[in-house]
Amino acid sequence: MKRIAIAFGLVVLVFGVAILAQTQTESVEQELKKLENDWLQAFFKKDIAFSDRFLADDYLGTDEHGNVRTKAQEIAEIKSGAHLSTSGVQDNIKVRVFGDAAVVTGRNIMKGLFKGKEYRSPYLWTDTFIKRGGRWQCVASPVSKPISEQR
Amino acid sequence: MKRIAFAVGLVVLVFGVTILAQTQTKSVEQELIRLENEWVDAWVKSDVAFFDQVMADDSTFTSPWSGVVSKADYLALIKSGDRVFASWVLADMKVRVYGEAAVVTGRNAIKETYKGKDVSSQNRWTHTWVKLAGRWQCIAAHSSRIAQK
Repeated sequence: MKRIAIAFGLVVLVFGVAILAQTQTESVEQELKKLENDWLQAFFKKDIAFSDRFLADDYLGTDEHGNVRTKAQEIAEIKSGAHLSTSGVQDNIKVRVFGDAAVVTGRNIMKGLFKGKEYRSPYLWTDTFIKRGGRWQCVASPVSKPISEQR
Repeated sequence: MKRIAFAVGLVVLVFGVTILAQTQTKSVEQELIRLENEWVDAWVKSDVAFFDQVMADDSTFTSPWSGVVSKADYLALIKSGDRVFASWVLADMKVRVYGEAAVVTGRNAIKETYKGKDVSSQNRWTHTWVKLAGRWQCIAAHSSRIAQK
């Protein structure tokens, strides 16, 4: 009887741990998806404070032309407002979590006006996050534009 | 006297731990640079087994040409032999290590044909690695084409 009780307890424990781990992963996924959307909105709002928190100090990004950007350069670009896009949406978001590291892939469809004509430009990105000091920070964000969309 | 000995011991311990951590980071950096060089060799030799080993099962590869592709599709492309390389030069490699994760960035200049058509290019790439089951595995690779001036 005692053995059955121990075995039963063990099974419950294993299931409990598995459910807890899955719940935690799902919660990280939601957190990172929200961060990605907040990052996109911060771009349009020129929210420097958010960008400063979101990007790690040793962040390295790559734009669609192959230019490498540090955190300071990325923030300067947001501050300048030099980009043409005025709004954007995200899709195909996929989050993969590996303990204190995570990779999020997705696509931004940027919208705006160029010479009075509305345009929609898709950009593919792969963001790497590291959890430090209890919060997720982006350490890398390479971007590319599908060749079919390049002119 | 006891306090001084304790303080000296503590300083030596902190230095020791720092040196050990630095040595480990250096060794990880070297291992990942080696893997990145092997990555290129494996492409040139169509060594599917190498990629099967170093790419995590749910890894993704993204480029302007391919969009987002799975490991299976990436292996199929290598196997197809559609890409034929004349040269593949790596430069500007930089490794950042975060415990059991790391990001390697670099540049490449590739002279190649795809299905007989010249598709030579220069690219910036970012590879994200995670130590899984005791070995480094690539979980994401992304290429951005350098604009021709």
